[in-house]
Amino acid sequence: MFRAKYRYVFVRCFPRDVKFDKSEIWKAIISNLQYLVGTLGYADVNPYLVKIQKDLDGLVIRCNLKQVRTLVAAIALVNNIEGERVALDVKKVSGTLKALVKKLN
Amino acid sequence: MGKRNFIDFWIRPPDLKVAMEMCKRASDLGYSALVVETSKNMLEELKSSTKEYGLELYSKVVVSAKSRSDILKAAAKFRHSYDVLTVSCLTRSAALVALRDGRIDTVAFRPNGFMNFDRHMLSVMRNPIELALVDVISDRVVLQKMRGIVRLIATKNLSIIFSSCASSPVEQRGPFETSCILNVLGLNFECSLDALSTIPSNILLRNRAKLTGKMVQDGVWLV
Repeated sequence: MFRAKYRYVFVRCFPRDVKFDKSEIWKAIISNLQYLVGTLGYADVNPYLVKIQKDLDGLVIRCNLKQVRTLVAAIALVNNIEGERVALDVKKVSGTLKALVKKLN
Repeated sequence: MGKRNFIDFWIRPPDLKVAMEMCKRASDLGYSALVVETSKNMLEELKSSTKEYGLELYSKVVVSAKSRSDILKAAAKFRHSYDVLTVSCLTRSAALVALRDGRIDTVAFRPNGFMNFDRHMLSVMRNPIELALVDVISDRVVLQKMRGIVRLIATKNLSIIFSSCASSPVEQRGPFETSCILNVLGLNFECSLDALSTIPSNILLRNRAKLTGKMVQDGVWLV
């Protein structure tokens, strides 16, 4: 039976002292992804903002295993959020959420 | 195969303070060497103040060329004093000369200059092409042109270098992110990694050897 395989990507803002709402960062990533690959490409990537209990100073995004590079490219293209110049760094990529959180600690 | 050493082939800090911040960020992102477009004095100061980051720093000069004579003059003037000589072409005729001249290290294609690449240029190309990440980040329309260049180069398996061309730490990105952008533009992932590691490192190794006198001619080393 077909089972979708995912990758979990941990993203953090640079500079660290700038604090944004997670939804604003998510919007910026989604906008860039749609510009980069279009609606069909977006569907292939299938990004999803993971909500986790643990307090991390970044975002965890889930995407399809084969399209992780597309998502990372879209993340790298983000250069401003709410008019402020920032960079988004991909800090970790992992196959399971549990392993990702473990690696981050 | 050993671990790759990633090189950011072009940063252009406006002053020493920003340059130090950029070195720190590059070290955090996982680069092992930086090529800095700056004066010789500032590079020496930078080298002494950023030893703790373990980065190798190289000097670079970028020349904007309109004609053949601009390129020949620049090659004669700067070749023996800088580690890397890059020509940013403003016209097609200048691009054709720069792509062939053995003294030029890379030919930069930027949106404010000449950014059309055709099959004739592809056939005479000897030097690697350099594309800048900052152009993609700041201007989305450039993506389309860059994709055309990358696809043409990918068909012939020629060399390409992808550098950040950053003037502040916010414009710098990690090697994995940068190679993912190249991958999305149409280059296969191994070649994308080569564009940030093997190709620039070979140029730097060759030029350092020439400047220190270890390499007399291409392929002739003093041992």
